[in-house]
Amino acid sequence: MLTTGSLAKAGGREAVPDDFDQYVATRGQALLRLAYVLTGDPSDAEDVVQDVLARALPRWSRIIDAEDPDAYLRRMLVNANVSRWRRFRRRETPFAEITPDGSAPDAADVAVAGSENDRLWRAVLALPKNQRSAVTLRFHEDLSYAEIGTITGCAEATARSHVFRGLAALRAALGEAPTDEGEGA
Amino acid sequence: MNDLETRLGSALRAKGADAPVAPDLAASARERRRWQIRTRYGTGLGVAAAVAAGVLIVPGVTGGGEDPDGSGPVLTTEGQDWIPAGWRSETVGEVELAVPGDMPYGDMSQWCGAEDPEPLFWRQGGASTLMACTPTYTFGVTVVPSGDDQLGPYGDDFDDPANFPEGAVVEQKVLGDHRVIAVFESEQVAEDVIATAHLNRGVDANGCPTTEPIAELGLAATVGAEGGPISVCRYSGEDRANLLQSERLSAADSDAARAAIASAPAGTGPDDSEDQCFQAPGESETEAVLFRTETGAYAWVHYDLCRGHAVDLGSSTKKLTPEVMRWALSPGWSGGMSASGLLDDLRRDPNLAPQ
Repeated sequence: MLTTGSLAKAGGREAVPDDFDQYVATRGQALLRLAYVLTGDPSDAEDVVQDVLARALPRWSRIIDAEDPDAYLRRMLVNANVSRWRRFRRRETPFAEITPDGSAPDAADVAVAGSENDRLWRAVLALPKNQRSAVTLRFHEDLSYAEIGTITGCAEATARSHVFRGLAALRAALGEAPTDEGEGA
Repeated sequence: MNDLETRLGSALRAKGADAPVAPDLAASARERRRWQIRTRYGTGLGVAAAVAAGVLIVPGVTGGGEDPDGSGPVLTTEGQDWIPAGWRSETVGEVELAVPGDMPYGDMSQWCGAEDPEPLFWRQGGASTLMACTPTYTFGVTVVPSGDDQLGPYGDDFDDPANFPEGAVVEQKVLGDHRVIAVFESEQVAEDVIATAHLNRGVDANGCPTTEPIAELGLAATVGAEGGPISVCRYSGEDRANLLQSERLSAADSDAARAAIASAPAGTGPDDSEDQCFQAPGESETEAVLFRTETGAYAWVHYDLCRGHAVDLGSSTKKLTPEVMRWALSPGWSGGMSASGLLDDLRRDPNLAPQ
């Protein structure tokens, strides 16, 4: 399942533009999509991507010579988001209370709370940061557990555990019964 | 892939499609970069002046006896007079060195998250938020692999003065497979740290062999609890030079550690439940801790995987308890483990201010 919404994970080394501006022109929007799904806020998403690219700029020649520049930038982005989350967690209220029907208590969000996609996304945003990152990388970016482990700096088994626990938490938050299927497999 | 996973993929992709469109990301990134540099060095300094602000990178000095294979000086550890007064020893693999005794542990690439950045002893491989700071590294001491890949988490190397604070003196020395990097405002302190660094292929100053294969659960060869102070030796699963961290407990703390083990219930565990544990069959531990006395191995503490938690005393096993983990994980440990509740009472870095 390689989606149009994800950074190309198997596009081959030749497909990655060497030039910073060309790379951003072709891949920047995919980074922004990932950032938006992770942060839940368009301004935060743009801020995180800008920050990552600004930090990547002075070392661009090294990054582009790396085996997988896309993975490198994903890693920077995921960790920049975790850092942002830590710095601003006191004022962040990422839908911490998910009701069984998935709606968040904030009245301003009621208008967009009806759809199934919103319910699921809100529940993902309420996950602990490690689970949120792992679930997003798994189901938005379609990455393997090994790739998720590389990006988030943990073992493959730990990445698998984050996804599994994230799915279990989502089921609980959404009021869905556990399944006997190979969840997270 | 089950129904929830399918719906989740659809939902996240749909949300991703709603992301804002930013046509000038590259230009915005360049502007952000300029702003970061101005912020770090102050508005009165230009970029060129900041980079050239007196960062001095000094080739490593050598001292002590020559290593027989030519890879660096080796000191014996019969006496510990190589450790300056008030300093403490640290070991990373076969590299042993001394640092100022009040130097806290931490990640030199995460300095901008601290309110008051100070020199840190940076033990590679620990948990990190990977916050990208500018410049990349702050003051401190670290030991990194010395191969071709000498890059930090963001690809910054340790040879580029721009990656260190203004006025930093960076001393480096290659020893065996590692490179020691000391970054201080004081050239004398940097030199002193480098001068203490040496290869040790025996037992380090804290009583830990620098190479010790992790004993599989049930196969540990131990000699009992007696034998004076306890050395806490944390090892990786590598074949050689696998000492990650060492510490020698005081007499009182050694007694407390023995008591913690003695009072732990017999058996193994606590382990994660089967539905929470994705440990592959035969998966090996990435690290374990050995309690060692002057007479030999006393106990292996297995905490790394989500199953097989135990204190292995050779002839018997004990369950892991928070009290045991308190002594097993020395200050400066930065990792993760399963079985929540076992890390509730770890010892704090004594060099950090009370919270």
